[in-house]
Amino acid sequence: MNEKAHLKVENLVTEFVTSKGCVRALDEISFELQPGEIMGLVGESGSGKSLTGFSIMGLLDPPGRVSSGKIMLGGRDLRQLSAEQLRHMRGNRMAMIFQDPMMTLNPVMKIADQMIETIKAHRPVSPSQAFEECIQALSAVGIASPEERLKAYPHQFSGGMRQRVAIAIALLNKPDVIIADEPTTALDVTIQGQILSVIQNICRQTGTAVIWITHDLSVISGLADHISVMYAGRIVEQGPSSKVLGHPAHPYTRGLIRSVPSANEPNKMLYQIPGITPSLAHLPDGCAFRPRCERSSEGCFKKPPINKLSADHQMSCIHPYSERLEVAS
Amino acid sequence: MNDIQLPEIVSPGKRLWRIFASDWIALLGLAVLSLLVLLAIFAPFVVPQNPYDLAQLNILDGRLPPASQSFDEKMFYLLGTDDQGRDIYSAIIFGMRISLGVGLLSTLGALLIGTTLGLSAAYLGKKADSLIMRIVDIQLSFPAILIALILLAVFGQGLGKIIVALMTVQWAYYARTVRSAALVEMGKEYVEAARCLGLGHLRIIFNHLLPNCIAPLIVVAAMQIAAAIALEATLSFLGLGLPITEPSLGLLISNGYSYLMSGKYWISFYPGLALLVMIVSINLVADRLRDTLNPRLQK
Repeated sequence: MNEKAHLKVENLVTEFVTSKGCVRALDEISFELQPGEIMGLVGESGSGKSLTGFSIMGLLDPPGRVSSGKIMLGGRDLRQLSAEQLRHMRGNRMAMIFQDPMMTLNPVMKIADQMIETIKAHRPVSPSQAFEECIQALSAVGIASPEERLKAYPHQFSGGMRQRVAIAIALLNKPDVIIADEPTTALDVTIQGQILSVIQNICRQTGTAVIWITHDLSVISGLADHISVMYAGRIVEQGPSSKVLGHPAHPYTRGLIRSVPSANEPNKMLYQIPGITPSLAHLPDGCAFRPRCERSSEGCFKKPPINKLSADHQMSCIHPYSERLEVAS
Repeated sequence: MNDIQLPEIVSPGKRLWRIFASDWIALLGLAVLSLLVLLAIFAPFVVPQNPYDLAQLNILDGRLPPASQSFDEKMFYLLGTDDQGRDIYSAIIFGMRISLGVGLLSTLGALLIGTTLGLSAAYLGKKADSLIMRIVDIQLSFPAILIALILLAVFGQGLGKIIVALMTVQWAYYARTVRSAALVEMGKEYVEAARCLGLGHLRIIFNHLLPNCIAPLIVVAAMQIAAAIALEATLSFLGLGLPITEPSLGLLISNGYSYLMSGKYWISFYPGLALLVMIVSINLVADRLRDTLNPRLQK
């Protein structure tokens, strides 16, 4: 196992410059990821989770652009690299897995061609060796008889199998970081479990770090080492999974956890966070969660400072909860 | 683990052929077309006379009706002769050779140019897209025959020039077709995924986008071969095609035109019939191709 670089994102700001003005979609995102670590990036739709992924990959479509901050991978700032250098990082040192496995594979290319192409784009490898690596990658994600499967087209696979292939492709060049953008949302629960364990095993074995983007806290709870909770383009709470899920301090994190339907509490009204995610163009002053928060006060009209609860657990709210959240599950 | 029944892996080509072959009219069209293509390829071996070799023509055999003997009783003219004593059957086969060759080459050239420009427009977007598509719009707002006429009038006659003129007229159809197909494909996630894998631009355009846009291109190309042949015949008929010593189908029709009213129908009629059969068979095949490649039209 070669030494994996670690990813450090510092004060990342992504903006969309439109004719109606500048919209700040990501506001000073910071996190750090050690090799082999899995970080859950949680939040509602539109909170900037996927955008964080695309900003790191350098694949923002105009008018979006990263306007400040650092994205350090193995000591190099990805923002300083040329387009060509960045292209060599993509698929090689960092890879991405998407939500819909029906769409991420090219429908008219055989699996083998798509996989070999990915290897050859980054490394000069003989065809037979490339084919060998493809077989290994497919076995690693649990696909039976990979030699025959390589000759198939994507439509001949089921959804779960396709997502496995997508993961195998992402892993081909043994990247330092994989950004998984809700990769199990389109799959059913049993397949989801299998995919989760495949990812978990591979990370532990190869030292590849994973950013797991999801809105589903139940997925992340068993998987992630760290959790970052995003709201309206900001990370509102960040820390080890046990602390964020066990002692959620931010009212929004609490709301999210309480919104998860629990199997053990029939006949009970499900909790809902009142209101909807605000439009990024019209964010409320101060704390963006203020209008939906049951604890909001005069002080919330100012932007909340980052509040360190312990060495590895931080959040930004002036009214943190301190008691443990009891959730039956 | 190994006793899992894998589904039969049918290659797309085989699958499409099965769908194509389920329509007997299209098969008939394909059979006729193949016969014509074979005749055109082996033209020198299947005709009694080289219609372009003036030394073989005998002016005394001029305007003989179908199924007549030559003056020296050595030749048998199945479909009669034209005013210069040229065997119409031989001239038709050689004429088809030119028509098919011109049709194929100009279509191929137009396909290459149009596809490259259309894909570039879709992939590059913004200014490149606007520029290329405005040129396409301007091009398509003129009648094809007019542009071809102007080009041939400026550059003169000749086989190569006809092909160039036809390419100039036709590339815009491919550019427009492939651009719209590519724009749809660009929005799909596999393109984003390919970018995420760090593949190069050319690789994404030609390995990922192009194969997904190929179906409409095949259909347009098949239709445009027929259109190119018809256009070439029209230009020849107007006397802007090939020299009079090497008549193509259009020129044969034009040559016989002046004798139509005097009952000598065969000089125009048989070349016209050959042109008709060729274009209809190509269109039959093209129509079926369109149905085959469009999943929505399949039962």
